[in-house]
Amino acid sequence: MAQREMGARPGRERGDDEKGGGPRRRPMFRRKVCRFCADKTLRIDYKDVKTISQFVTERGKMTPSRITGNCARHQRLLTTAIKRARSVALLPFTTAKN
Amino acid sequence: MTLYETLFVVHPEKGPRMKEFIERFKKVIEGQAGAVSHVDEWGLRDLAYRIEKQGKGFYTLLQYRSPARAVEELERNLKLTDGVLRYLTVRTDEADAASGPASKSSSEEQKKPANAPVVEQEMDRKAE
Repeated sequence: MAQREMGARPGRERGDDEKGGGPRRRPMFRRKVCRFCADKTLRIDYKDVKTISQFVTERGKMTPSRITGNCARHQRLLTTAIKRARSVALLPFTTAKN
Repeated sequence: MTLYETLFVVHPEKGPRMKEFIERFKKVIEGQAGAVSHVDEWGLRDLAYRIEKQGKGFYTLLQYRSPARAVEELERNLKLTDGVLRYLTVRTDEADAASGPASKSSSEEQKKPANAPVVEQEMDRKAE
């Protein structure tokens, strides 16, 4: 999808995208659903390292909800859970050097 | 009276005294009109980062219902106790308390069998 748009770009003038582009741009993406909303039995708990570490990068950074698709509420709960887990060494703050 | 849980991490070399620690902290809570509902020993686990040059620690979770001053007193004790690397107290929801331990045990199960015997062995050695 994105590649086709890129291919079309060289032929167009700068600024064209923003001005005339009503019907052209359709960045088709799959709607991400918050995993915790979809499965109500799933709890966000700082002790549950397995679940929580799915929302953390290899470096130990939290994944933005933009990427995971979490809703605001659950992302917030997740944030506190990750921070709690970090404070008791269940999760790393960083893995920069070891 | 509120439902709380405290997770604390003990220095790996203090492992043999784990039972003693737990008993002591239980007494602290009970001494402040609290009731310990659940004690969960996770055993020796890897730490995510080094604390006091240690890569491992004994994790224990205490769940209890108590007034707020019990938490104050318990945290004061944890702070004073040598060998406690980290602790964390959290107020838990009533709803989660019912489902919490059950769902958690499934995720913790694979660690427990490996770790629990170690604790017991060390306990025995101490007794001899």
